[in-house]
Order: sequence, then C-alpha cells, then structure tokens
Amino acid sequence: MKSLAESSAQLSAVAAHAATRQPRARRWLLPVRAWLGILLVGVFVIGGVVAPWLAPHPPQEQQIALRLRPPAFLEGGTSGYLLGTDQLGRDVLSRIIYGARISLSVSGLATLGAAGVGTLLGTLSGFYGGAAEQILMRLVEVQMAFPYLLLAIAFMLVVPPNIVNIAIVLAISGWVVHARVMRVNALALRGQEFVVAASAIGARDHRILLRHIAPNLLPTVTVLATTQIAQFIIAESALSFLGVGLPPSMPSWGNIMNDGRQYLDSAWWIEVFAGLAIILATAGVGLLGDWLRDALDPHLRV
Amino acid sequence: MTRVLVRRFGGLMMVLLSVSTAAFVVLRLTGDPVQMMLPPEQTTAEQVARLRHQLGLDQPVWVQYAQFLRNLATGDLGASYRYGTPVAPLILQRVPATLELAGAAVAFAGLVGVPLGVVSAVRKDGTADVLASGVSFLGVSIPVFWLGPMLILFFAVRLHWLPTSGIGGWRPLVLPAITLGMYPLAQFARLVRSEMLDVLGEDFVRTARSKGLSELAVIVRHVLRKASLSVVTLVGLNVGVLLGGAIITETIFAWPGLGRLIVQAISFRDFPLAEGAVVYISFITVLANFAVDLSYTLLDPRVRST
Repeated sequence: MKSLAESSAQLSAVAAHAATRQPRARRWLLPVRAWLGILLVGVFVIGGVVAPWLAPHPPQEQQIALRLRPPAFLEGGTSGYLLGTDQLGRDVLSRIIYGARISLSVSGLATLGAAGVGTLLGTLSGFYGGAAEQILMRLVEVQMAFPYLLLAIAFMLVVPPNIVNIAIVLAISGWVVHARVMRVNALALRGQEFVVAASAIGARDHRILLRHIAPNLLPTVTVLATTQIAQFIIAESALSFLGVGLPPSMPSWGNIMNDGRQYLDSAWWIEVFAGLAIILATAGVGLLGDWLRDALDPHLRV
Repeated sequence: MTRVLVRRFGGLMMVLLSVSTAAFVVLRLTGDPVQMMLPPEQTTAEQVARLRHQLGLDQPVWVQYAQFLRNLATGDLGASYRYGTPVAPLILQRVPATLELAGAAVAFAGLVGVPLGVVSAVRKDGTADVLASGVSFLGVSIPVFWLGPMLILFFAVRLHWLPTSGIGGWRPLVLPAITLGMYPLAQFARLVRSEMLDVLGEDFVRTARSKGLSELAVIVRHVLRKASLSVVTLVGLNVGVLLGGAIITETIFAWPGLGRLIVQAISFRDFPLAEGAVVYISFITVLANFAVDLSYTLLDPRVRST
C-alpha cells in the first residue's frame, strides 16, 4: 500500500503534467503559422533581392507581338511567360518579381522612418512628460482626425514621385502609432522599481533611457513595425491606384495592378496575380507579426 | 462627470481647429489654383491678376488664414473655385450617399464579423476557429482596390447578378459595402475573439452559467455585453476611416460620395471645397469618438463614477 504522501506527490505530478500539456501543444502549434510567415516573407525578400537573376525577362522588355497572352498553363499561353503578358507584351511574372524589390523597399524604408521618429518622440515624451508631451499628444490627435490619404495626395502633388518620397509620405502617416504606444510604455516603465533604482544610484537620463528603457521597448517596437510593414505594402499600392504613386513605368505592385485593372475583362491574370502577390506578402508579414507578438509581448494590443 | 465632458469637448474643438489649419496649410502647398483654372497660353497677366483678386489669393497668407477662420466660425465655408457655388450644399449633397455606404459597410462587418468572432472564441482551436481566423486574416491582407474589381469581375461581369456601379436601391450597394466592410469585418472578428476569450474565464460568467442560464443567454447577455465596449471603440475609430477612407471604394464603383469629392477638389486645387470637406469629415470623426466616450457610460456602469 502506498503512503499518503507518495500518492499525493503522484497526484500533483499528474496535475502539473496536465497543467503543462496545453501550453506545450500551443507552443508547438504557433511555429507552424510562424514558419508559413517566414517562408512567405523569405520568398518575397529573396525574390526581390535576386530579381535580376530570377526574373525570366527584363521587366520593361516589350514583345508587342505577344501582348495580353494568358498564363502559360492555360490555353493560348506562351511558354516562357508563366503568368502571361500585359498590354505591352511584358512578362507579368518578371514584373511581379521586380515589384517585390520596389514594394518591399518602399514599405521597409517607410517603417524604419515611422518607427524611428515615433519611438523617439513617444519615448521621450512619456519619459519626461511636461509641455512637450502635451504638444506631441495634441499633434497625434490632430493627425488621427485628418484623413491620411488626403495628406498623402497633397504631399505627392508637391514632391517628385520616387521611392524615398513615397516612403516619407507613408512614414508621416504612420509615426503616430509608434508615438502613442511608446509614450504609454515609457510612462509605465518610468515608475518601475528598476528605473527608480537606477536613477537613485545616480544614473544619467540618457543612460537610463538607453540601458533600462530602450531594451524593454524593443519587443513592442518590433511587433508594431512588423504590423506596419504589411499596412505600408497595401498603402503604397493604394497611392498608385489614386495616381499619386511611383511613376507608371516602374513595376511596383500597385502600378502593375493599375495596368491590370484596365484589362480586367480581357486579361484578368495581370490584376489577379499582382493582387495575389500583395495578399501573400501582407499575409506572410502578418503571420510573422502575430507570432512575434505572442512570443515577445503577449499583452500588446494593436 | 459634466466637467469631464466639457473639458473633453473643449479638447475636441482644439483638435478641429488644428485640423482646419492643417488642411489650410497643406492645400496651399500643393500649388496655385489660378494656374489650374486658366490655361497659361491664352491668358494675359491681367486676367490672372483679376482672378487672383476675385478669389482673394492676392492677399498675404495670414490675411487669407484669418478670413478662413472667420468664415469657419460663422459656419460659412466659402464658394467653390470650380463650381462657383457655396461649398456647404456641395458637401451636404454627397452626405447621404456616403452615409449609406458607410452604414451598409459597418452593418455587413458587424453582422458577419461579430458572430465570426463569437464562434471562434467559443470553439477555440477547433475547426470553426481555424476557418474564422483564416477569414479574418485574409480580410486584413486583401487590398480594397483588388477586392473591388474582383467582385465586379465575378458578380457583375461574369454572373450578371449585380450592377457594376450606380446608386439607388440595395442592388448597387451590395458590392461596394462588401468591399469597404471587409477590413472592419476582419477587425471585428479578431477583436471579439480576443475580448471574449478574456471574459469567458471570469467569475461572473461562471455565476451566470451556474444559475442555469442557457449558453446562448450567457454569451449574449453577459460575455458579449462586456466585450461590446471595445467593439464600440473600434466602430468609433472606423468612422473617420469609413468616411474619408472610402475614396478608393467610391472610385472603383463610381459612388458619388465625399471621398471622391475631396480627391477631385484637391487635384483641381479647389481650396474652399477641399478645406470644407476635410473639416466636415474631421468634425464627424471627432463627434463619433465623443459619442463613443459617452456610450461607455451606458455600457459600463463603472465608468459613470469617474
């Protein structure tokens, strides 16, 4: 006969096992989605980087004799043009591959700008408070009430449309998200014991900010930035749609879709495949972001 | 309570003033309206000067700004450069169509998105959850300017079920409402799911169950009511997006709403019309957020005391 202590120890071991089982199953589930995200993002990033070697044709090469050909796997398709050709006989697949390069650089650059400015201003205003904080928060409110597409349209009417300016316009619309979240986070961190302790032993502000505050903000910045890249991929194409994006000759995803929309009835493949590229890239980044949020900062709500 | 509301309202008026100023400045950066209105080859400098004087553009900018603020305070938004008629009726004329589309989009998003979120939460990690999460995931990834043309291609061009554009009755409204509502739908589903998962574990839910309420009653009356707070916030945040951000949907479906009016006004450098429309949209946005704050007191008794 087992002693009472023995069986109770066994019971608690069983209970402990039962308690750990669910989280372990979930931990195993998450990477599947995360891997899908990494795979999708990886395909687009690598595809964009090695575009000149990967693309079967130069993106601007026109074969007027082969214009509006359907994808190679369909009836009437031409081999060598896997996803068909557009109205000027350009290879849709090659343009989408080069589009990854353009669209991802624009959204990556814009996210760097938005996260940099927003995090800096938000953190400083949360940490120091005072008049600067009040001004910043009013600015954020104003920008949130101002229709951002209009700001973008007005801005793009003034500056030449190139990758840097598009990135700037997106960053202008996106920095407020970072500023708001970072202000609250810095505010919360400022009152925490380790920060108070650091300042009590005489650490200077810049040391506290860099050594104690910044490392704690990093997970949140990463998650916010990932979510934002996905939004910017779509926003860049939206600007093209409204006619204030990159010059029509550049094969950005938005421009390819603009071409495609005019031939939607006769040549659906241009619009469909360019759209799928955007959806897959956005979804990939989104999956990655969800996983990062769960892994780094479970309490964050974006 | 009243003092809080008054202070909040004052803050909102400040936001509105700043938005108007921003609109004034941003528009003046876009270029000279006179050059848009008069073809440069066949106009004399004298004609340009006369038009400039007529529009008040020969005044220093700060005089124009003072005039703009004075007009705004009296509710006078000026006359459109392009149409030559007062701005307010031009804007108000577009409001019914805008509200119709925004309302239909929110209704679609809520009626589909909220049940989707509820099912996801109740059947967490089940097949229904995976499917619903997949739908809401795609919803945030599909660009509006892709979804719209695709819906037209299938339901209007191929199947002839619905018209490609137009206004009046429910038929022309269906495709634009789905296009515009897809993103909020996904947001609703995700939010309701995560909120409900939080609430489902709370004590008052166990109490409600233990007193013998049906599972449906527990969810509708107790869980959803608590989760509705953040849903209402989300609706409020979406008002501005749905009014001003419907530009793309309106362009795809040739919908005569405010968004297109603004885009046309900006590209024509029609300052009074664009300013008026931006101020109007911001006003509605700010008002909607104010209403959201007020609705908290109805939905959550704890907020009333603060």
